[in-house]
Amino acid sequence: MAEISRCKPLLGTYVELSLCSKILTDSQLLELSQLGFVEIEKIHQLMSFHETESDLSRINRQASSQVVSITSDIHKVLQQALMLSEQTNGLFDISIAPLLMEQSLLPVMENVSIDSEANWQDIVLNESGVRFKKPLAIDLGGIAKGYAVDKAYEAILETSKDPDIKILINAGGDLRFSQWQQQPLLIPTPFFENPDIELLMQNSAVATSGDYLLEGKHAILSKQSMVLENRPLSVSVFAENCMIADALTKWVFLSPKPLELLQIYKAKAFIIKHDKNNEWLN
Amino acid sequence: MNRRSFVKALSIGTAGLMLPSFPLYAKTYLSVEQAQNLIWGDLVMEPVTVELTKEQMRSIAAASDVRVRYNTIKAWKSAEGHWYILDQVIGKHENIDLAVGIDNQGEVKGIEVLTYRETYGDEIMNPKWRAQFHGRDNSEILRLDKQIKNISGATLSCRHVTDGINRLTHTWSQVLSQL
Repeated sequence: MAEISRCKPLLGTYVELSLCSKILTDSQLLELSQLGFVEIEKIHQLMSFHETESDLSRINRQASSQVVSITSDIHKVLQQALMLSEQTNGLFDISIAPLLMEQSLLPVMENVSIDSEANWQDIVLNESGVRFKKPLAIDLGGIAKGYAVDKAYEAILETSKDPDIKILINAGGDLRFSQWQQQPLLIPTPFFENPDIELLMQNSAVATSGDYLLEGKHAILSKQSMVLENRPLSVSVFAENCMIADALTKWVFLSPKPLELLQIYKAKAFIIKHDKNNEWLN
Repeated sequence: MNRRSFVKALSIGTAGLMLPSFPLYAKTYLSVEQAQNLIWGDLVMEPVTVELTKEQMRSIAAASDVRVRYNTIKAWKSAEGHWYILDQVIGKHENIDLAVGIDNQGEVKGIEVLTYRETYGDEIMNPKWRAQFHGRDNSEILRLDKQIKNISGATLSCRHVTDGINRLTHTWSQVLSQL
């Protein structure tokens, strides 16, 4: 039995990739892991807000004045993001970038004017590309990391000569498992009153968003400026893929009624609360 | 944390019973040799230990805007002038072991995390709280939790790795490229 485990700094975090197979060799697993990391790097370079040469930055610079042609990866992510905007009445909205820039959570884009009234409904996506009806800027931080994990996972599974290969990818808490049944999962909590919590995996993918790592700044924001009573400490969403899990954590965080959308995506959420009344939503 | 104190963290005995102890998560990935092979293949490389002078440390820190914590660099060098370097950066609170390949043009050819260590818990992150154990190695108040493999928490930034790579490329241009 061969087994390898690697970790590389990517997507702004640590990406861990572990492979295990009864029939493949160490070097075959290493090759597959390379393939996975190449996929993640590719998505990182396409969708990073921080990289001025990324496709995303190009869209933000140009889409207000012309249709910008895009790759199928960006198309898929934008399509999913806009669908979520529609399903959440705009609570999930990738045109959040200006607000994140204001809060210094994203670097400020130079020479780009923004219409503060603009929102996701001003993003037009079709076969030829993407166009903004009003000047706006998008950030895919709430969804792209999950997509990168899914892409790497699928590339490995498709290429592997072992259909039973065990794959685990963990991109800073966005996890995807091949054999996830009965796998333990640890969700760290930052306060002693709330000890770390151990759960069992509920689906192939999980993502966790916490509200506690940015020193008083809420990293999860909505343009609808909703102030939640008893804001959770963290939300973990289990779903069939990481992109959905990643995006839905933000939804569960911000929505007063998150259940319906979880059901649409056959997802489950585990919410850790300050008052320790942690709960499952499914 | 050096290797010795890390081993100590693994084998806390009575001290662990007397002190409050906190989980230390440590995961090891590729070995030094595996990572070297992945970055440089079969390229023949000779071990080199480089000692930086205080002047060099200051100069690298000034150029990279990153503190230089150690004066010793553990590295391997090929006849063509390619480098394979073992380095440590602070993750969120604990050291992370890195392997980095830099070619003879100063370009980074590969980065692998070899060991990732982290602690969770508010107090342990607080330097003032840690100071009460002054004189003890930090590792004594950590316990290694080997049971848990998969952690899903709020995303940890890899900013310090990015800084560390920046420091190493400046180390290359100021020192290693001259050797």
